[in-house]
Amino acid sequence: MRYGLFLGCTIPTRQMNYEQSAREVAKVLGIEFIDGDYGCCGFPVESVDEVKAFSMAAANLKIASASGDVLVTLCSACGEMLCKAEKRLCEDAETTKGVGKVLMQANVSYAGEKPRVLHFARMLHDDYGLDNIRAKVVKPLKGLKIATHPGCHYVRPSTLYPGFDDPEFPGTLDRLVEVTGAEALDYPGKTDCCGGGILAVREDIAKAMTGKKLAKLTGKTDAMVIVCPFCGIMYDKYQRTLEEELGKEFGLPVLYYPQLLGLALGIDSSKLGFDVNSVDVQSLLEKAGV
Amino acid sequence: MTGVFICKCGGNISGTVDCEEVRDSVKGEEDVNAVQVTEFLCSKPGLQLIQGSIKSHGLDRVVVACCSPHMHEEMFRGIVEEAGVNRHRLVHVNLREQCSWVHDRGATEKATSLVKGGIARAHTLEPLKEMVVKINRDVLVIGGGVAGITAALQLSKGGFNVSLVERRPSIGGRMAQLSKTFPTLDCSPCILSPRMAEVGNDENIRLLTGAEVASVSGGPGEYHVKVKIAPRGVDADKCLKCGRCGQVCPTEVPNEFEEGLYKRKAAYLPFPQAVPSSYVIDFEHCKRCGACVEACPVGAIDLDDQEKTVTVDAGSMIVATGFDLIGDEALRTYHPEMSSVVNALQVERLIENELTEGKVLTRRNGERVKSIAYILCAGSRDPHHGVGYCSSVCCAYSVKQAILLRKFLPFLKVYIYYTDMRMTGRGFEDFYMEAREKGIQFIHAKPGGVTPLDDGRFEVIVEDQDTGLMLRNQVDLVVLSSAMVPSAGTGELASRLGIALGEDLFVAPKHVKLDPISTLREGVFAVGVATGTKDIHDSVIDARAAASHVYNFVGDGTARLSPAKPVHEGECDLCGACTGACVRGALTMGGKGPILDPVSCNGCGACISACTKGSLRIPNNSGDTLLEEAKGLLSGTEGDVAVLGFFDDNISYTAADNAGTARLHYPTNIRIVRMPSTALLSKETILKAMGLGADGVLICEVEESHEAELAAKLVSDVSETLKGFGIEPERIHLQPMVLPIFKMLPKFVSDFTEQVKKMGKLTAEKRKLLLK
Repeated sequence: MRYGLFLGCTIPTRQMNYEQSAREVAKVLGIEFIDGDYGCCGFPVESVDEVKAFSMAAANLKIASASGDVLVTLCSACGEMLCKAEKRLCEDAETTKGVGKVLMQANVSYAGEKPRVLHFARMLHDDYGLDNIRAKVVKPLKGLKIATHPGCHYVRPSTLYPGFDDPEFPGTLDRLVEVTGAEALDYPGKTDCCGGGILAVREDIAKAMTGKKLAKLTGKTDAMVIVCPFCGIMYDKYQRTLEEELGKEFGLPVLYYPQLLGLALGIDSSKLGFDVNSVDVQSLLEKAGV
Repeated sequence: MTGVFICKCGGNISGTVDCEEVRDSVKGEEDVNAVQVTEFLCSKPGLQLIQGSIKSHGLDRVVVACCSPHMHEEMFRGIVEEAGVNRHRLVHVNLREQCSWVHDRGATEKATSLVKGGIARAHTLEPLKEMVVKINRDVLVIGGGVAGITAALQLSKGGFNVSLVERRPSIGGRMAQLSKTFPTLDCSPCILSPRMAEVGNDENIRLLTGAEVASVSGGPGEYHVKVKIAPRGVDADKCLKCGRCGQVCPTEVPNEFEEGLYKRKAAYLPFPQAVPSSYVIDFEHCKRCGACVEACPVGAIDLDDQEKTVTVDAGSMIVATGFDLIGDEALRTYHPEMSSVVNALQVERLIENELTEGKVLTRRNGERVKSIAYILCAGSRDPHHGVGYCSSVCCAYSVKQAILLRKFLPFLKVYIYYTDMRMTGRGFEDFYMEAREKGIQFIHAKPGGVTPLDDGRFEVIVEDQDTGLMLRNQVDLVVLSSAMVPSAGTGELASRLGIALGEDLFVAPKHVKLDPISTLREGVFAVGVATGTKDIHDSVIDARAAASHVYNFVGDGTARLSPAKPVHEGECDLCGACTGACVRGALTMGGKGPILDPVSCNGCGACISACTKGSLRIPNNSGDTLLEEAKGLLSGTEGDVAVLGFFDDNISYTAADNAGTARLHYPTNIRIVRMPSTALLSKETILKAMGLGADGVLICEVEESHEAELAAKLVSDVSETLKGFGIEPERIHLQPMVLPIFKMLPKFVSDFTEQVKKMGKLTAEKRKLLLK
């Protein structure tokens, strides 16, 4: 199986653990990731200038289409942005015209290319298949209690992902955690946002949102599993800051899904990017027996 | 001598159609003696104009061009008949719902051709006499809730014999499950059970419980209904209700009457006031141990009781099938699967079972319930997860329940989370004020869901619409005032009865304002929540109105039937193709030819096209009539493609009217021909119609019906022939139609018109071929 790999901007600069673990996991699963000359997906620009944002997305779609590969994104927001651009540019002639004008300045012309784009976790769940993953697990993570955080852009807006998961009661990540042998926890507020989306606008509210879920899960779970680098920045990178500001103790390891899966696949923990994780994962690794 | 009367309809037609221009364009048509334009044709002056014109011009045929024939056709027929014109020589042209309301530019030209079509049709009409048949005065009422009970009693008092068919083992329906009714706090079973007892004792009412309608044949005035009756297992006349069978029965299952909150045995009494007043054996769960048989002191139990089928003959039927509450799937975010989340019907049962017994409400862990949150509009007004409509009664019953709960348990904190407080009925607003004064808290917000907390309580977070503040609350019990939906099986019953459903899946009325009780099928009426959410007061009004309808329909026991039924003239070799084609069993083969049962016949015309000798025809609706009308309709269409639409009257034509009422637009190229049913069409007629000028033919017929099957065969037959002539087979298209999707009709028409435009007009040579 081969897929184009879309890294976006945040992962290669601030959350390399997601990329590293994803590549390692792909190797073991027999998935070939093809890199390309992709740029920013346009997500951060959307609320400021829609047309420019969709132009950035369209440029990436063109590259993916030319490669002939299905495009897998690691970041949920990138995935949403590219899927949204595909839909918008085939339904809205006005925006498409504007995009055409912008891209002309870069000598690029977008002709409505619509390569298939899907999130890394969706690829594993829908394309690769849970049974096939389970077959490759060599070290079942029995005894681990994991709380998945699906985040927002992974399953919403549901009109972008028809037939995939359930926007109000998402379960695919839980299934993916279960094939590793760990237990996926159900908890209230699972669909709550990490707060990352408004960090730049209202830092206080964003942090309160992040702190809320951390407080809810502390002591109830061994780790949180995420699939988006911004959730990673909020829950992992800022956890220490939040502990100080909110006067609480969390100590909750936050893992990207391929980091967890990598352990179950028998990949050495040194290759799964744990050195980039801010919150110490030692206790978790010990509990997992690696 | 034809008279044409064009109505401006107070601007509704004249707004887009230049009626004077239409008049000028048609006054030169053959045999037209008079053309008048008037403001309101249906008003007294308008009708007098028609009658005056008939007399002064010696008219023998009349064309009215105004609103849809579904509105006033009968009235116009009566008016012309009074003035001496045979009522079947009236042509009613639809210039409003299917012209002025759906077109802007080109409306006048289209109106002209529609009127010309009407005039052409008028010329072919024979003066017909109506058939007089006997009507069966007996009535079938389906559903034994308060609406069905009220209708049955009202009819019985009027001297009618009523069969009341109820699915459950006892009548009473939802009202029997309620504790008290709003706004007076009357005891619900106390006011209902005398009615129930009356039904049980009434000589004119045959009560069939555990019964469902399996199939319907016949027609208005003489319906034959097969009713399947589930075995009761207990002889209702012998049963003493001593309860010993229930005591010894080993099997326990959830109690439906108690909405699953409590259990009952497999040998059980539905509820204390049940009518028939008798125990029942639940054969689905009965283990056949026989303990009940032994325990019964009067030998009333028979575990070998079998299902029976009886045939009920009735001239008219009343549908009173009521509602269910919406399923859990639509309410997922409120966690209905948890025991401390209940719906309003369950609260009624809690009040009756717990509070009136002096008990308090408790949570699973035994602690007292101290706080309750009501979620109004749960599943209602919510097209994404539930239903789009308002369920009408929840505001009132939530207030009622809150008042009752606090009356019994004054320490309770009750929070009603509302979107609006729709206290529309008489006395309701005072009731609401009383609730506010009594300290029940009303919060103007609708939570999207509730969050279960670790201790079993629930957190409710909302944005108060009045203050803009976020409010967080924690309660012990959540009550969902959930949406009402038509009771399970309403859809299947409707198709068995041949009646239509609305977009919201309740039974569709003939006219939402002027005839809300009649359905689209003659002799079948619908009452209560079956036709839309309403309270007991309105359901009772419906029921009494339906009794009045039945009275009018049955009259003196005779009815005048439309003469638009097959007439046999000419050769017959007794081949039986016609009787085989009739799915209603209205045709049987006699010694010399087919014999018609006019009541069962619905004039669909399937037999007409089946007859190989062409010996059957429906007066005023033969192929020749259609072609004459088509000639008129297709006049003036040389400039653009012309589409002929053959629409069945009941559903497709009504859908087109509904689209007009909703002011949905579509291209003017289509000319709709109103047919009793499209089964009247033959290949020859369609080919000739195309030869006369139709570039496209759109057949609209009721989805999944026998007529649709015939239409599909016809379309493929015609397509083959067209291919043989070198004409695109896509020029003919069958569009299945169901009333709930009338909003799609403009799109179907536009899409097909676009397709035909791409193919272009048929050439003169091709037309010659088709006319051969």
